[in-house]
Amino acid sequence: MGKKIRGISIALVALFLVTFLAACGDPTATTAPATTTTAATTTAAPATTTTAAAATTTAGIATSAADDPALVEAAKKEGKLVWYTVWFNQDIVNEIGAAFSAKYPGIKFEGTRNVAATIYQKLTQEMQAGIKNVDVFGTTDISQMIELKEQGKLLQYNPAGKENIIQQYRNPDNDNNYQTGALIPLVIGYNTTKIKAEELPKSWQDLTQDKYKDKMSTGSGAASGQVGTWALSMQQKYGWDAYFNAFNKQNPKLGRSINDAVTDIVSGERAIGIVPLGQVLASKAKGNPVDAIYPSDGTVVVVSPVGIVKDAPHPAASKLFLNFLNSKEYAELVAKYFEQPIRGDIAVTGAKAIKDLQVVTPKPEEIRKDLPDIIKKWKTLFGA
Amino acid sequence: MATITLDNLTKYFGTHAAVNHINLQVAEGEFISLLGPSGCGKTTTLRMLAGFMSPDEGRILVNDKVVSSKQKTIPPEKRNMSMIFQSYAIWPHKTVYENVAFGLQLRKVSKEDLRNRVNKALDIVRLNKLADRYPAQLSGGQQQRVALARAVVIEPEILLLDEPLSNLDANLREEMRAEVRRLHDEIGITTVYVTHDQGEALVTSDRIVVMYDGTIQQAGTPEEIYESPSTEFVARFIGRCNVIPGTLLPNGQVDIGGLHILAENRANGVVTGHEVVFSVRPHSILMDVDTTPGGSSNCFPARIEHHIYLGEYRDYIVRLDNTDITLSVNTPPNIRHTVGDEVLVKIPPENCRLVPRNQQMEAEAIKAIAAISA
Amino acid sequence: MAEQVQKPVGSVAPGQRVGKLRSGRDFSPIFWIAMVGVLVVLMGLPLFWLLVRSFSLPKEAGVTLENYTTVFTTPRYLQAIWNSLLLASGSAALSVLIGVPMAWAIVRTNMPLRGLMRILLLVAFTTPPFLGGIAWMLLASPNSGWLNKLWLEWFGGEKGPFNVFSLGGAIFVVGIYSYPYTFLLVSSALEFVSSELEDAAQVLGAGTFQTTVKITLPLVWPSILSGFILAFLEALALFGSPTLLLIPARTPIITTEIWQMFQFPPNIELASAFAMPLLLITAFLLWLQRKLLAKRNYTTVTGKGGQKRTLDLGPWRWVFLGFCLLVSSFSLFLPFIMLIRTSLSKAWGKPFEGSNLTLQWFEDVLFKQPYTSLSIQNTLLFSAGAATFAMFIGISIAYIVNRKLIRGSRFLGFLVMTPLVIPGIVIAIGIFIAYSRPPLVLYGTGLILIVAYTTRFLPMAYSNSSDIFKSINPELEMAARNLGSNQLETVRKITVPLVKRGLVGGWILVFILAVRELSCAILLFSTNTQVMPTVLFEMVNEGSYERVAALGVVMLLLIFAVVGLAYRLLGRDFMLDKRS
Repeated sequence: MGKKIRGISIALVALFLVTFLAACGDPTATTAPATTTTAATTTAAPATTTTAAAATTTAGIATSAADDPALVEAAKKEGKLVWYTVWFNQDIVNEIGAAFSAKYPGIKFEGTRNVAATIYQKLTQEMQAGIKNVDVFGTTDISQMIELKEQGKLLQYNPAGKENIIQQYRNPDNDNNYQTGALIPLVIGYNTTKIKAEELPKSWQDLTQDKYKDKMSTGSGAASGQVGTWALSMQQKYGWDAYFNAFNKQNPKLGRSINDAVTDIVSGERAIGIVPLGQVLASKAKGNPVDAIYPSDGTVVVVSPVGIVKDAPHPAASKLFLNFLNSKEYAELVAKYFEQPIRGDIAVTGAKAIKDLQVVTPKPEEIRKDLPDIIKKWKTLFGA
Repeated sequence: MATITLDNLTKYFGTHAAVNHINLQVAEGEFISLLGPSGCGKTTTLRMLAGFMSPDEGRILVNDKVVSSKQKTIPPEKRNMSMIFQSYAIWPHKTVYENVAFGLQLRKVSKEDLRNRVNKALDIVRLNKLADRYPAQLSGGQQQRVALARAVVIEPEILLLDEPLSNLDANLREEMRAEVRRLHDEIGITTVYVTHDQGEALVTSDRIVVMYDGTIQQAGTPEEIYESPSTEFVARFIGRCNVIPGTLLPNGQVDIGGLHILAENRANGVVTGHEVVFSVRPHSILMDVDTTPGGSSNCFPARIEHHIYLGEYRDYIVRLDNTDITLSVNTPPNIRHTVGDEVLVKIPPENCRLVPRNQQMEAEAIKAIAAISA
Repeated sequence: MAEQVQKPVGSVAPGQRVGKLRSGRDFSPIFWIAMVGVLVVLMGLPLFWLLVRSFSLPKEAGVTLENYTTVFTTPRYLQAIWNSLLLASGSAALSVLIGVPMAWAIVRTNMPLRGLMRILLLVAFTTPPFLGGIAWMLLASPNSGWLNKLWLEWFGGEKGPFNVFSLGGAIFVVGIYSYPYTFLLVSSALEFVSSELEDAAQVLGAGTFQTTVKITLPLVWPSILSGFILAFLEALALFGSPTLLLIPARTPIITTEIWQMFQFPPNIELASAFAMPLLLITAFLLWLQRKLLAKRNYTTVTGKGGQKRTLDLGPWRWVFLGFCLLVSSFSLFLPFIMLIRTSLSKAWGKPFEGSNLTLQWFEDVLFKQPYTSLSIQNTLLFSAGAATFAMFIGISIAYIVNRKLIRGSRFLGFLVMTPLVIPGIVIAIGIFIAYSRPPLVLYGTGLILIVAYTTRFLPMAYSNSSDIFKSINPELEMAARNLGSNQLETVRKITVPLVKRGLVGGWILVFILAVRELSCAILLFSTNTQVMPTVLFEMVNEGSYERVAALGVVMLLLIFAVVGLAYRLLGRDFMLDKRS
């Protein structure tokens, strides 16, 4: 119960923030009044939304379909949204769902998270079998999205609020088959009790050194879109054989999901992990002895797309959800869990902003072209 | 070859003495049977002898050396005895030859010696042609013979047999009885044979030990046991017998239900003026003999109550006149009567045996004997 | 029609059913034929499609051997086959080393606590092996594993000695959950070995040890062999714990490879071809087992004196008790403690103390996580469904075979047992192909899992029912037929009530097996048809061990509640003995 109330209040805070943001366009000065009014207005929330929507349209700041009452009505009639995703972890997915349901009461949210290979396989299997279950699909492997687009399996939609997204990630697909839904910086995470400061690696290149033998953990490049993208970046930078033969010699522990590697460094099972920045910081904030290193040869940022499935049983709710992903409340919710928002206006405590980072990101077409090959090579070299 | 001494041997199951302070001497080369109904303690005695159980009191001596006592029991494998089991206990995963060779292999006998001895043992039991068979391919009698060969091949000091023939059918049983005895005579081993079948015991044994309720009732040659039972149990248990409780009168006659009768054959413990048990075998009673009735001649008038013709003899049930006493009388087939006929029966005093009366035993013995015949 | 008219009234053709004349409409034959049809489709369809797909390519028409060439020429796949054989033989050997002495000690000796040991065995038997695998990940991860931490605390040093992420580790974890197979077979054989067979050896001069080695063990050798083969096949077909332990160890095995072929990008055709070595090895071993056992006639010859005497082990009985307790600690105590401890901790890596205690994970998996609570419902629903279907078909087929209702009923008896020869993951491939295409699109519905479980556990349901029917005198039915009840009615009103208890036992057996089933479900579940084993498996990959432990504890409680209930209702042997 406690959690639910908290979830609702977070959603309310976010809601008010959006309202104020829309009204005055000043991102920094709006927190105080919002916090003062959260507790009392649970039931008033939908009303507030509508008012806010009206306010925005009149102000003419954005083409905010989220505020289109007809869409909201249609979505509520549908009553449900099903999201398959690869980002983050199940807990954050649940929180996102709670916030979305709180913002649009009456829309039940089902979110399920798994590694890219598994969830995409389920998605395509279900599509083949003609099962219409999923509405929105989010992945860390953009090649899957491109493939779906090529097969015409996505519903084109241009969500509201895109103008707030960091410029370079704003338009991943010109045809609006999919949008950017998350940015996941991959860094070197480590357990502060398991490795001395002077022995810490500084770059991805360092991880091929013998002194890190039996000390590393990450997910499977064949199963995890994030690890796959990282592996592609390493291939581009250093060449597959040169980098991974040496990396393989260090006998890293390779699970399936990259999330498992976070558990490994938190528990001390391994000293070093190739892990998502957000999860390391979140764990650090909980008091675990972990920290992150931004590799000198570039933080790999996994640009994670999201799109509406063509046969989505709840298309209106799906559109609403895509709008929601562009919202400030989503960005703040994500930031609360130390994940990088796709908007530039929200910072993550303790994390370097994307713009300040030396970022490595393979281009989508490169991923589309090379990732299947990476998956094969990974399986051959590492077994799974 | 060995002598066996049971000295005050006792085994308790809970508070019940399954074997109750028994004493027995077995001579070298003697063939002795432990005979009694189930639960009499014979198998327990045998298992103590084999070393599978320790006595709670008393000792077992072999060649005057203690092998079992409460303090120390030599384990079965160190006793140099052989045992034949009710189930034969032939190992189904070994051939006949391997079964027989097992004991010798344990004794590290040279290969050649082993082969000779196994073959000889198989010859003795006439199984040499089946040496390579597995037990499942053998008949019951053949399996029993394997067990015999396996037991004797190690030349044990003592051979123990635990109801070895009870799983065989009647014909085979008779054949194997003779086989067991023949084997004993051939190798002259000290043998202890447990059975509940008196026929088996009578045919095979030098001496029979009748046990009942953990005690030895009587130990003696088959003749002694049969002709001179010393307890009421033995009298009732061995053979068919007319058994009638009575009182021994000072004049030497026995009062059975008001009838006075002479009995010359008396067991120890029969005391004048006390209750006794009068017993006479059906075939010892004569019918239609030319004599006058009267107490002195042991001749009594009687009436035929029941009659069965059995080919070799006739079995009459007669009631002595003016008494409640009925007797079973066996006669040659030529003595013919029909039910209701008045006859004269003569009960020769020398064939009449008196044993002490034991009322408690009577009921239990009847029960036990009934159980066996069922 | 004409023929019927000509028949004199009252004459009955030989073999014709008397009851039919009276009741008029007898649907029995139609029902029997329908059951046979169901069986043929259930068994035949998946195997047919498995075979067809193994000879085709993903997007092309035509017949090809390419999949087989790939399987048998790719070093990695050959390595996987080799590793699977190593894993299976290693864990089967371990299960013999554990199961045989344990069976001997429990059945034949005076070791203390024998009754308790039997119960623990039942518990180990019903514990899902992959839960054990998960617990052992927590216990023996090379650095963070609890046992390794304890080791370092006591003995110091750089690194603990245990590494569960290795082939050796997997052999150990699989072995400590497969010994019940060996135990069950060997112990029931030992029950039938008369003590006199041992006494005979002892009297001839063999000591206890010699007797055991030379007489007792050779006597039960066929069951030891069967136990080895059974454990071998179980390990070979096992998916859960080998996958969890061997993927990080980067050691490929057949089942893991097959499963990966179902990941993106999928290659169902290659998976079908790769299923064949698994199928062939299994079939070959079962054939070998028959052949070896048929060679010698081991029928134990026992007469009346076939009773069993308890062997006095003297002080050795404590050694054996220690051994049994050690095994139980490995398979039960340590894993259960670890799971419970983890499920009650806020963070499992931290000390188990007041500030770290919580019930939040139970609340979480039972009420909060949408897919965990759904999976609990699904598991119960699908398992109950499968148990019901399997028992229904099982009884019907068993009845047809036992009462020889149709020609070729022996073949039916053979057909119904085939899934025993087919590893779960292979059945799953066949079922996936067969039921994800028109006309029968079951994928995405719970029905496909129910069908899979039904197919997989039909042999158990069948042999259970068959045993019961054998014990019922057909005359009881004849009497009812004589009084005018038709065949189906007779079965329903006379036979089924007579065998009710046995049927309940069979139902519970299938139910429990289905609740634990992972290797089938992992290829067949979709988002809305997740079951507890698949959710657990996926959650392990997330690294969320507290939640995994909580759901695992819920699952164990569920299983033990059902087993406990059955134990009370039906007695000790309700689910043992039926497996071979």
